[in-house]
Amino acid sequence: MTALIFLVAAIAMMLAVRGRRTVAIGLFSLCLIASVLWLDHHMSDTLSLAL
Amino acid sequence: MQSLVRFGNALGAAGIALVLLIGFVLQIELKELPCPLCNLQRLAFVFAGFGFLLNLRFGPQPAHYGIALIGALFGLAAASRQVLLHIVPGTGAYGSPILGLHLYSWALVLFLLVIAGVALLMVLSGSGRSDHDHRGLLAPPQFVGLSKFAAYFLVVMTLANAVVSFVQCGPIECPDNPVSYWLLDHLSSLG
Repeated sequence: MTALIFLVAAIAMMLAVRGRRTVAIGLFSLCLIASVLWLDHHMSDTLSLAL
Repeated sequence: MQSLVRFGNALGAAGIALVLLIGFVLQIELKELPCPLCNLQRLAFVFAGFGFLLNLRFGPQPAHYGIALIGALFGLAAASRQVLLHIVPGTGAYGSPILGLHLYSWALVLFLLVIAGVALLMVLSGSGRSDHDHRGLLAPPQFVGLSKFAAYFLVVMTLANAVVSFVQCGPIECPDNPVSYWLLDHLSSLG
């Protein structure tokens, strides 16, 4: 999953370099949403803190 | 002023690519695999770098700085989470310390630096009125030299992260404390 997000981010960057700004930002947005969900998935351990 | 802003964005993109490269070197040198949260922090560096890359290619715009900030804030969340996991004495740590700090602590510091750097670049971008077009945006710079090098360096490091992440974790997800490379294990079990 992380590899896929990296790959899509790399494609977004290559599109940006080639001048396709809107598509690149669209792909970046997809990556960001997937990453936030992935971060939430991995934040499973309980913190040893009393906040 | 425009050239200073361009240099700052190139420095940001190249600096982030360098951080990703150092991550690789330490991963190989120390034989320590990045955990899922570590990989998410690397991803956040890529996101922040994407904002700098857009500025280099299309000229500085508030939306591009916003993307860099979102990336840095995402990284700050992931790094803070990992710091908090180990902040209480006796709760252990992940990986070896480098110059006195663990990599997730360094990441937290670097994400704060990215935010500070973006703030400074935004101030500088807004000061050179003669460089702006009728919409108040800086004119698109020529995409050559250091700008082009920084952009391609970042693209290559992002692709390298995709490959290494696949070799380490495979198509699904990494274990919380990875000790071996998924693809190598998979290939050795086939052989």
